[in-house]
Amino acid sequence: MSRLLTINTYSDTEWRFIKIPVAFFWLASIRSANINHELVPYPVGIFTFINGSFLASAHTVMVFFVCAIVLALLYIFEKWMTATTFFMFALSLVLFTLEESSGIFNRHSLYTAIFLSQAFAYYRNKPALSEERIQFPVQLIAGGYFLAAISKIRQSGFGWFTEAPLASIQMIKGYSYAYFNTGDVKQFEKGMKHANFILEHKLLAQSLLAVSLFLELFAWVSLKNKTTAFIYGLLLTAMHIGIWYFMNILIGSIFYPMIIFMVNPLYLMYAGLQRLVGLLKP
Amino acid sequence: MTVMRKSFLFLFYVVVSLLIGKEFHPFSLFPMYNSFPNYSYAFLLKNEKGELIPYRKNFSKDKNAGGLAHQYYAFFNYHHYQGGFGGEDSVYIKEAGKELMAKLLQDENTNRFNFDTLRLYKRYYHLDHDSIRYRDDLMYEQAINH
Repeated sequence: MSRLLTINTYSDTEWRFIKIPVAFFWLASIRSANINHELVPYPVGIFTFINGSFLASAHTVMVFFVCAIVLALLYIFEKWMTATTFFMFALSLVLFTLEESSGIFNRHSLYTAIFLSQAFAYYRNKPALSEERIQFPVQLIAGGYFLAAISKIRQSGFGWFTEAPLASIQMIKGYSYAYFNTGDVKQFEKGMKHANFILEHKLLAQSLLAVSLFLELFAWVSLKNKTTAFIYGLLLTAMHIGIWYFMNILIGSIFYPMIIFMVNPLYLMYAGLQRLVGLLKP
Repeated sequence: MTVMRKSFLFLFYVVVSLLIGKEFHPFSLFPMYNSFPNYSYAFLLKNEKGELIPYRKNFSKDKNAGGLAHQYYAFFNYHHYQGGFGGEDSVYIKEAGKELMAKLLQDENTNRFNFDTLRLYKRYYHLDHDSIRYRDDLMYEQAINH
């Protein structure tokens, strides 16, 4: 751990433990993309300029998924990375814009932007590639959190967190989704319990929301170096766990890239295991 | 790594997203929960007896309460209809209900459904003097052909 926090470069092993989960979660997002196969009902993004219906058929989307599997494998095995990451960007752009044009906003923007940034890093092919292919995505992730804070301030002002009692209405919504999806009424009861807790502890709720706004607003601190990215990643992870506990909401398309690139939990486990094995050796 | 190289993509992504000012994948304002209005909606299904029809037990996995909520808001935004606070025009609600029902039943094998009528409701939550209240409004009703 001390080595991780003091050395400001990324090893190939760290990169390996980043790209495997990135490829996995990206593929899972593509597989579960909710696309209307008959038409593009609410066109957004690139499909406001071109009619994307011809790309939305079930057969075409299946072909895209097969291409995504091939690209994910090339990404993991580090083959033709400039082209591979660029085509991952292009595929993400088309499929996730199709999903958003079906009215479903699963916030996959970071994946798409991350692959383009990595294509740029590989295209440059500078000696700093080993750092840039990880730090460029960290910049975009920090940008996403910062934009979320700006969005809150523009919409509700700096007093966004004072509206905490009304957040209880949003909390119950997340648990209602779980109840209506599964039929498990306990989910609804749990949501009511959490929502009423917020109503009874307004100051605590306001403090938690203020902390989360502060964390998002200062997400750019994570860009300073690898250590700040790691510590900031831990703080953001705590924030997401809090949101998940109270609201039953986990925006995976933002959380997974963040924890993978900033904290790299698989690498931490690997490094911890290696250290443990080293200690147990006679 | 220089300060510029450490932050130029951050600046680019933030500035371009703010200049575009709306969702344009991959640029986004990440507007989730940027305000807490005194209402929230969740969409549920019931049969002719008024019993809950869980999405996961009856529909393909991409059909769920969250997805329907997204599509409801997309419908209102796309048509520039006024929405929120449980006060939508009943004509628009029925129009949205018809469209959401069609999307829900698209590509589904209705023969395996064990109900004859599918009712789509919008649950409207709001806060009234620190108490959470809700009501279910029928949006659309569809007879199922087995």
